[in-house]
Amino acid sequence: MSTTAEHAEHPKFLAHHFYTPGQQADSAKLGMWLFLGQELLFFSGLFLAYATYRFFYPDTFLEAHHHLSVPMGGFNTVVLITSSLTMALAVRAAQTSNQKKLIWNLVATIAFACVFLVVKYFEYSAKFHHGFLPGKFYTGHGIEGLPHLFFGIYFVMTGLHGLHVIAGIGVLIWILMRSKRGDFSAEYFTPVENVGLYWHLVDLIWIFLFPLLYLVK
Amino acid sequence: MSQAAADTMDNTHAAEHGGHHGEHHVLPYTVYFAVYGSLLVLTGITVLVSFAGLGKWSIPVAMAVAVVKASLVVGYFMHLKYDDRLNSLILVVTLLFILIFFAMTFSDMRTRGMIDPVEDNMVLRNEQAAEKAAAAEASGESSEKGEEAHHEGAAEH
Amino acid sequence: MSTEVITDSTVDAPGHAEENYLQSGKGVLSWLFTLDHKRIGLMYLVSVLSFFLVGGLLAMVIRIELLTPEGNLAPEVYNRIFTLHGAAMIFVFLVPAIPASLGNFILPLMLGAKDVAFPRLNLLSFHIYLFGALFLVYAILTGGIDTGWTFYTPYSSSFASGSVIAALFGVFILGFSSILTGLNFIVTIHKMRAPGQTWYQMPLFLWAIYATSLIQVLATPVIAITVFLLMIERSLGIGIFDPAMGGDPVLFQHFFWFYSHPVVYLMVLPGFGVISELVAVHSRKNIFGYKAIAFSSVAISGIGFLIWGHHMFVSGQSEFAGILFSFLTFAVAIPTAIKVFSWVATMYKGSIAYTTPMCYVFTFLFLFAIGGLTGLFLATIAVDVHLHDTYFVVAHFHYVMVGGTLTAFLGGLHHWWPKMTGKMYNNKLGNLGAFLVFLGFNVTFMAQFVLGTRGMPRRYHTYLPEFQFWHVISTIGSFILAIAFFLILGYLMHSIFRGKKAPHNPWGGVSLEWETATPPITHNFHGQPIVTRGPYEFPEIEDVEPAKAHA
Repeated sequence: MSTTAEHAEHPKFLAHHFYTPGQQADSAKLGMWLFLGQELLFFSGLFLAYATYRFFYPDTFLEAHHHLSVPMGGFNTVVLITSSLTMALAVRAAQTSNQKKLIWNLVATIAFACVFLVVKYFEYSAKFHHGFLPGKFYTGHGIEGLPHLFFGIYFVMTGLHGLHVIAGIGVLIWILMRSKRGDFSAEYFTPVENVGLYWHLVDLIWIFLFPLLYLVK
Repeated sequence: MSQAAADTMDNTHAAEHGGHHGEHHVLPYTVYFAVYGSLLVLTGITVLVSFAGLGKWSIPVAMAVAVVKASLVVGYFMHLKYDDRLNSLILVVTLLFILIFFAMTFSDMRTRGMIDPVEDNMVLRNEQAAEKAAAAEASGESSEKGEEAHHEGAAEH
Repeated sequence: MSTEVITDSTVDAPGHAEENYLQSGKGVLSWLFTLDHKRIGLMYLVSVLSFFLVGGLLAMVIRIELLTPEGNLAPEVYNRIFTLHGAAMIFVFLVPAIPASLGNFILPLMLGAKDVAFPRLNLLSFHIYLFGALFLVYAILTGGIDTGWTFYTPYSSSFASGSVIAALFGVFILGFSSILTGLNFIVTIHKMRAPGQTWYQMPLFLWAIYATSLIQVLATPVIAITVFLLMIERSLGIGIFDPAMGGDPVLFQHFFWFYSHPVVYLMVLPGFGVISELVAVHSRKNIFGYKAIAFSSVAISGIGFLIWGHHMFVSGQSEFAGILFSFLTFAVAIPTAIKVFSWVATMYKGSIAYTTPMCYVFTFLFLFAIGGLTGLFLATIAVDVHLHDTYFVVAHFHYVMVGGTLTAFLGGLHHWWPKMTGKMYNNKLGNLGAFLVFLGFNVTFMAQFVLGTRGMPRRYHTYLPEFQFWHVISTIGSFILAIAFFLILGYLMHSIFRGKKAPHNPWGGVSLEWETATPPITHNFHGQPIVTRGPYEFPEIEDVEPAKAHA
């Protein structure tokens, strides 16, 4: 640790190589936005694959998407949007040092995330039941064209999104535990903020997935 | 209204301790709930519009609504509207590169056979192959097909 | 805060209270779990050089095999060897070579910062790198891969034998190491610059690293999703890239080259940065066209994303797209040429010192000019149809990757070696090594240009007897190159154990990394340095400046 005079007031959450908490918070947030940027590019590959095959085989896609459940997808959309709200409120609670609201909003966010996964589980099992599986595992009947491609893309897109939801639950639990320990206040809440940004990204991707996979006629 | 009171209390609290990094904004609850309400309404609109059957306009409309929803989430839930401009720049640059990825790939996908028409391109061939495969349901045959297509692809030049 | 702290640290006294970064902390664990960017940089250096050795030995096997027209190795074995040579050189040597090793060490020093913005992320990215490399090694031990480093479908997804999935998973993991390094550097450059250091007062190496990091963050996720889809395709057969199931293998190539073309710039841009430093310091002149060089780096990284289709002229991509990509490819020559002209103009009327780093600058300029210009041949569709998949292409990208990136890496290594180790190497042996690299490289790859134009296809282990003469020449060159590398390894090792203690600032550089102790102390600087002058304002030219203004 440096012993120079300007470091006399070095709060314990401030890493040694930063000079002010502001510098540290801004750096963390910038890093998080860059991370979100790379997440977007990661998913953009899947969206491009979707666009390509929709362009090649429009009829297959139109027909196959009828076999996805709009009520379930719509319900999950509402669940994710609500979890985004509770997450945003959790960040707000941290900003205002409201410990109790922070914890309860985080708990609510985790609960909604779990609901999302449960609904997803029922959706997946319905697809398994009908044999609407990707690629060579496809054993379903009644869809013209190349439905195995549609379900291949469907499972990869929603599956990777689901993995992000699971990862989100993981970091939310970590943040919840730290909140209970009282790590966060209006002075320092960067981890809450960054986990929030990540969670909103999961919501953002679903906002595009839902109409593309479930709705477009 | 107790909520409004809580708001002002929170705000003054933040004003005391906050300001440690530039744009430390605490939005009032009304903003959060207004955004939440709009998101729900827009979700409803997307679902309803999809049943209206807009034909070729369905994707543009659905995507336009999704973009509005995404902007609301990014701007308010993610605080980008009140944040360092640099973070917005990163988002814009990312979207620009996604656009490049899509546009340049589609400059190929949309123009295949435009200058030098091909009767027997891969997509056509595979549509026929898929029809045959659906009829015959022979998985061994299809892998042979793949090899054949590969060789043809190599022989083109 | 005062400017005096700078001169404070220049007191290069052995009796100084604070230990240097090499001495603080003993034992393997103090290295493996260090958060110090300098130690992480050194660990990267050792790792990338080890993989360079592996990739180099594989290259020697290839060259020995090609001495005779008839194949001595089994074709499958040859396929595995050239694939591993490519995969090792690109994914675990060239990509991390300059940014992760030299960049990690030098970047915070040049910024006057105590560390990178996220030291733990930096360590994590090194651990991820080792973990990913482990998967590549595992793939080699369990059957290898014979797809070529490009993993083209449907061969890689449906037909290739061997441990393709393990290798793909290795690439997937390595990608995240690269992303995290890039992310870290961007934030560090934005937020950790010393007081007084404006963007235009940063050394050009940092501009190059910044442009590189942009590519790392923006392109690498796409290779991650590409190899992820390919892994799923190969293991589950979802059909996305499988023509037999209605998939489009050309789409895979779009995905692949969206990353893998910008990655060429990811490898060579940090090399440009190193050369900008070296050419100014060793010519004792302010860099010519600072802003031109800085912005051309950013321009190259941007245009680099628009031209990936020139790898696919003969792959079934549409003719229209081919024309578009060809046209845009020529555009990238403009910022690249701006750089080369600026470096040459910097040397003009400078007082050039014939130090080892400067010898690598000469090597770089010569080899990279050839590599860049032959790239224009290949960007011309009609010529590319003839030259595609011949040794001309092989020679071209070796001139860029070895002649560009590797010589810049060696130049940078020799430039900052005294700062990193505190020891001097033998300058005469250094110059001899640089000359042998230059000679061996040209003999090896000039011959391959000839082979390529005469129609020798790449990736073949047997060939027509009339090609043998040039293959023998090429193999002789590769031995000269190998001798050069072992010579360099020898005197650098010698310098660590027996070398003279390095003077504080052997080249008279004025950027911030020369203001610290040699080797630097753990926290880099005593107090906060303040930047009051540009990175190339050498004291001796400042005196001349007013006279010039009056003239």
